[in-house]
Amino acid sequence: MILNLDVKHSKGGHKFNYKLLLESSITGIYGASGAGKTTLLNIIAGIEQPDNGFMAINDKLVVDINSKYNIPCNKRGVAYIFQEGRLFPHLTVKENLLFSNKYLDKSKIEIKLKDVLDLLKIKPLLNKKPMELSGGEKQRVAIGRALLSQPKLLLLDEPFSNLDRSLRKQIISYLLKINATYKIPMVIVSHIIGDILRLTNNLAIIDNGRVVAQGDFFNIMANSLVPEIIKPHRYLNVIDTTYTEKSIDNSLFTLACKKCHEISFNTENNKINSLEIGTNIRLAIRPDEIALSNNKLNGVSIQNQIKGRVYKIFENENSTFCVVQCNGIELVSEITKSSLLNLNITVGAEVWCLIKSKSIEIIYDI
Amino acid sequence: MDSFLSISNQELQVIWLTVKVALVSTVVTLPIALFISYALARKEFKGKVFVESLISIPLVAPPVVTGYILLLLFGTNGVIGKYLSDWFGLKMAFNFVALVMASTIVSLPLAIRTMKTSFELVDPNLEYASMTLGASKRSTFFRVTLPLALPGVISGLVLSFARCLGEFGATITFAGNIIGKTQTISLMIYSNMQIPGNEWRVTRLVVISVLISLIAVVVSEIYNKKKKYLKK
Repeated sequence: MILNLDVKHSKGGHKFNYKLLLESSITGIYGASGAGKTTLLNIIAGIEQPDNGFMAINDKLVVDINSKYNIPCNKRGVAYIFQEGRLFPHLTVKENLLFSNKYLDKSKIEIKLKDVLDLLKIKPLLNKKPMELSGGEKQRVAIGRALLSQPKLLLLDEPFSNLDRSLRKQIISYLLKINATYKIPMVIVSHIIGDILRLTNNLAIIDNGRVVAQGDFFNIMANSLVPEIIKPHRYLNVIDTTYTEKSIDNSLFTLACKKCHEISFNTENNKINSLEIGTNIRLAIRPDEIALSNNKLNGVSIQNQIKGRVYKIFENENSTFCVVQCNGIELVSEITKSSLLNLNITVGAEVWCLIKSKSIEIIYDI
Repeated sequence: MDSFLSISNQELQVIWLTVKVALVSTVVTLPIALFISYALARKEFKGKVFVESLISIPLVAPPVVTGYILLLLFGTNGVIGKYLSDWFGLKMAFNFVALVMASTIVSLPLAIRTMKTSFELVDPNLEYASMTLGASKRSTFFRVTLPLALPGVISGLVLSFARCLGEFGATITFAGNIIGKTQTISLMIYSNMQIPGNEWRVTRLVVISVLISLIAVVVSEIYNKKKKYLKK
């Protein structure tokens, strides 16, 4: 168990009651502004003390108010990446990165400065002061600084705020690389569900100071636990693949699904051209970019046709969502209600998921 | 014939004593002001308003009153001074210690107020960031809070130093105006103003006094300008 928490807390007249069990290597904390997301992170980090309850990280007790047990913030091994980076303005980037060095057991250092510099591409920034950095650079340095404190758990509070779309994608890529390289569990807070879903499907939904739902995005949605907060059209199909081959003219690239090698995706994304065969690639496809057909189509420009069976169907006012099981992976397709009726799609029906190569978004490559 | 440039040994000795008192007072002020200003800026406790008001008294009360209170407390027959004298043979009034005490008490509120403001300007979130990186509260204070508040701390010390240079009321009451022992620049200016024909001496001491204060303020300004990261 990465995190087991059951605490009561009050602050400024507001009451918070968090019950949380985290097992996934990346968990997204989602909720509206003022729902209590940051307070939860502050309690995990030890910045705020709960009034009651307990918390364990990696099965080790950290807080137990009843027995007055509390490991202080600086001894918890929980690194916190704050909304604005919070780099120390009087120190250079290098000094910021090595800030925690003084407090570490030198024999237990696993994450080294050189590796972090390479991973986050921040070597040219070493002698600069934080005020000379751009928003994206600041956030990368803050991530590097947190990593170099050799954390057992990484907390990220709105790490994408104040960043434009391309920088968001860049930081998401870095976070996924970090998770894959160092296996550090992450808890990430964001009010943008798309950003979270690019990192993980595993969510905890916070509303009014409480954890109102927890688990896989689609299960939360399917069980209608929090329909007002989380809406199906915000869903994102995220699939981990391996780059296996490219066409002779270097225009089409094949990505084999990791869970099931029989399924592969063809894309024209030029970014892949510079990568080596065998590179791991995470891709994302929006539900409204997946069309359904009863049969495999011939003579169409659509590059990806994947056979599957309808597992679940959800409907709301405007759309219908079909969960299609395709040989070990689930794809969520958003179609209109009339299409559902015209094609006579029911649970258990065999369908083909049609995905244009242009609809495939590359999230990261490692 | 006295002229503006003919400075006497007695004057040099008075200037040196004044600078010495101001320096020692500033050194004594530093840890006290740091502790109190940080506590006032960061901690919430019962009676905080009362403590803040008490500290500010020497700033608003006539310095003579401050000097008189010091005399009542630490004079040879004072509430505390009596015991210090009887038990340890310590004389607190009318000597160098009295000069330092009077200057420190009068200048302390200035230092505390300036430092408190600069500590309040340090984003507490940076302190939290430091703690999540493994630093204890003490280490965070010395590695993050103090360096960021340093321009304000320096300004507070310079103000305190300048206030000590010009201290008059509390000093004359508690330390006296003893030539060669407790006479500082301000007291010497005052004494010489009473004597006709000593105008050059008075002017000279005034100019020197202004110059010393000016140097301190300029040094502090140059330092603060270098710390650009505090400017938004």
